[in-house]
Amino acid sequence: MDIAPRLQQHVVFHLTGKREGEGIESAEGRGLRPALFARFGDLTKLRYDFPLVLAEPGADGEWLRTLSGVVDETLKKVAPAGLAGERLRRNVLRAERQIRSELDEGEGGTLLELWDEAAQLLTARGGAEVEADLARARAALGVDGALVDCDAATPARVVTHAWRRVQEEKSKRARREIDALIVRLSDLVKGDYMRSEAGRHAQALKSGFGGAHRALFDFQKMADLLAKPSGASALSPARRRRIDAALAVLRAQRFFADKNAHEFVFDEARDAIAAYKRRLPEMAELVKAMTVADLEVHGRYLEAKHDALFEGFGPDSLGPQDHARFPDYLVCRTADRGRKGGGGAAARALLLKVLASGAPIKIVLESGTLLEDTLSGEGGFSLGAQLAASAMGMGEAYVLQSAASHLYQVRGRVLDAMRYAGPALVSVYSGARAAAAEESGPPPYLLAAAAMESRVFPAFSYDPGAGADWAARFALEGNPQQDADWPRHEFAWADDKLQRHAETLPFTLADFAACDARFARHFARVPREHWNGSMVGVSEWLARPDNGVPETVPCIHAVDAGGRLQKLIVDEKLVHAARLCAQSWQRLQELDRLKRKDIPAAKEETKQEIRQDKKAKDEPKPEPAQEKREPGDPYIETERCSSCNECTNLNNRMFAYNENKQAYIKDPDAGTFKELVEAAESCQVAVIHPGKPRNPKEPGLDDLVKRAEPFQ
Amino acid sequence: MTTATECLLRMYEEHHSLEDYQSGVPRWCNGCGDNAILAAVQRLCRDNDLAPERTVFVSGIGCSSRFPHYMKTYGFHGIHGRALPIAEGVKMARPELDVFVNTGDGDCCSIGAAHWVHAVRYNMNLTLLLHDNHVYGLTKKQASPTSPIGMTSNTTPRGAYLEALNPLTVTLGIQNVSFVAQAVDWIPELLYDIIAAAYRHKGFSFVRIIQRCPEFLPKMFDPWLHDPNRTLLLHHEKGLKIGAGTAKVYRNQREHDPSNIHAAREVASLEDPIPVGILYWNPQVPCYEDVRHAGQLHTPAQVKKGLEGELDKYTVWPDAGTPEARPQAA
Repeated sequence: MDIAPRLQQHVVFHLTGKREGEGIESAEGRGLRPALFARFGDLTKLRYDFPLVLAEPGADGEWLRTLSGVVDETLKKVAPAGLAGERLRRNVLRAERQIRSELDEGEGGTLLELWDEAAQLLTARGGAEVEADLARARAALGVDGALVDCDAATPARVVTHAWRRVQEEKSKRARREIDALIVRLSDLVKGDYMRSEAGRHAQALKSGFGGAHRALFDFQKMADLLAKPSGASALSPARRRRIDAALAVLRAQRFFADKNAHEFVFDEARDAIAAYKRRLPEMAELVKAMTVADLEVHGRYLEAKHDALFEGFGPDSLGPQDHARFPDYLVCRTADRGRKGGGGAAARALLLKVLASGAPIKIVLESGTLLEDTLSGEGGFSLGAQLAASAMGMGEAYVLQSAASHLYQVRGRVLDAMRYAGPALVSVYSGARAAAAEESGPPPYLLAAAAMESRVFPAFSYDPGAGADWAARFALEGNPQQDADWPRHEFAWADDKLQRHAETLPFTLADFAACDARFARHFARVPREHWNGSMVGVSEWLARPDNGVPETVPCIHAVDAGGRLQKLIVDEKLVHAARLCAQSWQRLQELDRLKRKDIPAAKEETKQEIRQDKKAKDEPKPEPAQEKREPGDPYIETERCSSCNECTNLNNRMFAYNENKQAYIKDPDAGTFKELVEAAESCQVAVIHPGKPRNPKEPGLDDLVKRAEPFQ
Repeated sequence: MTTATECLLRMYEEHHSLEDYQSGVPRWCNGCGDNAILAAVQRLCRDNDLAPERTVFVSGIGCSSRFPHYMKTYGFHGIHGRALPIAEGVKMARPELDVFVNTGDGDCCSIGAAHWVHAVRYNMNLTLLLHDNHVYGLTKKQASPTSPIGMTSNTTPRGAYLEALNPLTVTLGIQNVSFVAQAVDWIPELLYDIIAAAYRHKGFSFVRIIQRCPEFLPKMFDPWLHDPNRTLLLHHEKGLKIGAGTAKVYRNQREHDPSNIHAAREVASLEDPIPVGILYWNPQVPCYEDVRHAGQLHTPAQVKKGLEGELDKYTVWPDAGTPEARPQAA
């Protein structure tokens, strides 16, 4: 066979997209998919992370579970090990598969609802034993909540569930605080009333007394007795006004209310930010009322100091901690063009503006498309594919990117994003649009997973609250074979003679594009008889030195609907997109490597400081400085004094306590040498040293000096 | 960064001196170890600026239990052996308060032993100081559970018959134990550091303080006072760091990791030398008040209803038997 003309045809297609000659065919309409997908057929028969259970708050605090996880745990609880539990295990696993099928057919509901439907169906087939097994397992499930399959709605449903959980925690905390302040302020008001003339009036006293014994008392007499000033002062008019005003604000607030509460979920970022801005004065009023109330209930409001500051207290006075106490705003939208709220340049600018604003707005951005149809014009990648990386540059916004298939793995990060005090972007590729566009195409779960595999949509997070530098803030995690440019997998196939061949295939952007029928024109099928050595894998092709006229063409492995291996040449546009994708992945890897390196050179100074600080902490505490004293002066080892009062009771002019209530010799001449010796003898911890006698005329010195010897 | 709100709240800041916590002249004997504990606790309050109106000392009966009288804070001089239930009640109702318990070897380890065991298990955020002088001093020298075998007293004139109870090993044997330390009153620096660590621990901090009773057991601890090597100082980066001055006098030291409960139990069994330091520390044990959601808001209506319910149980109704005479329940 003449290879050169074939290569010529292949190169022409690669560079121009033109298919000419018999060695090259159209890839369209053949139901081709990447070779590595050959193993995945009907997902409903597989056990994997979907469907997810949006768990209602329960004892274990888990907010997101997988159906398989729930079933496994249930089986651990109810099914005995070995053969004894085999039947129960099989029945429960059948129920799990049935639930998957029901969801796949478009049914929705909670875990228990779908469980019951599945149980009904399986019982009809299997009888009473199945019914009993499934009822037993149902009782042990221990969790309920909506079931979510992998589709366009998944990102919004999962993140909204996390958001709601966080808001409930916040709201509970705030409500507890506000309610306590209301009760305690009301107590002050009530106390004030009881001390007032009206409160001590006979009628008021009568109304506060139990009915049965009312007649036995003379309330007028009691009122006369109480009319005398009791000494307790009433609230000043200014304080009363402050308390009343704070109470009114606390009672009327709409941020943490059961009824008439503000709405915090929006379709559009611009509505969310408008609502946030509109409510700022109201927020400031509430923070002010809570602060005043806190000071008042502890009797710590100082009019001279506080009045002026509270007068000027407004939205500008609110700090990050104040904002963090309030509910966050949630915006769920799509990044895809052509869908409602979809993403063009204006949408991109607005989203970045919101993320840069510092406002507590959480954006869930769902993408169904990562590569634009044309692969030209706007650079080939869609808004969804690019926004998270751009948003990291905003600095103070929490950014999380993950494909929907990995939402369960990054659930901790989702919750962190919702808890973060500031704006957050959760960008999720659902794989849903492309799947819908091609009826026979791979399901969204597979597409989402493929997006992560191919590095088109890698998982990473940026948490500004985690530290001051990139190393602390950025995390590249959950991506397959993270150290490699492209993940590689073993692939085995059989030829016409049923001989097994195995090779390692990388999964590149071109493979990802091959999942989507819209990109079929960027591929050309080469019939098997025309395969030759000049057809090399995309990753190999990208790594080759660029020296003018190509001698090879990039291709990928694919399988058709019948499971037959095909090779597809990839055109330059798609290969260019793969090149950009690899570069972008390498940038992320570089960022991630910062974490693994030792503290970089620029931080050497800080490192020194840390070391010194640590050293200071580790070193034993220094010995306290000794007071200057002449030889022969009496002294006390003050830091060892056990404050037992022996010496101070003996002579409190000579011995005194310092600020730590430990003794020292205040004035050695304020007593006799005898007292010094007696103090030394009675000191339980023997820390008094009498020194030499200061008055040579003191009687009995010889004996005293002898007694003092052991304490010198 | 300090926000305007924090700044406003902090404007009323109080700084206290030791005198702000001193109340009256202690009636303890000269030389009593209680004085050292009082001084250390007053230092702790001052150094942490504890608001006197938010600090409570609860005690039972005994010399040590006079402690709340000498603190200018809230105090509750309770009944014999019952300091812990009272302190637990206070903490449950007002979890924001700092609650300390002062108890003696008789009060805690004898009549109050049941409460002690369960307090360890509850692991409420309290700091217990066990003033252990091995004797009932207030009632003039009777043997206590920690009196060493052979000790003569008014109740054991021929010498105590039983081995002394070891409060450390007992505490370390109870579920949910989270902080156990031992101090001696004659090393004030460590006494302070240990009490400070106990205060910082969130959970039930059990600090046994071996203290001298100069009146009834004047020579009991002389061997340890005279020979610093008979005191074993425990130090660790997670536990105590010993000052240079103390380290120079007490050279018998051991590195002991307070997160190791088995090592803690071994050290706790030592009687001579006396171990001093933090034996065990586990900040992960949940506190009962958190588990039971203490500090739930009691609205006036709830309080009124509860009180009326309780009082109604004891009310003598003038027209007994005629329900209409009774007020309608709220």
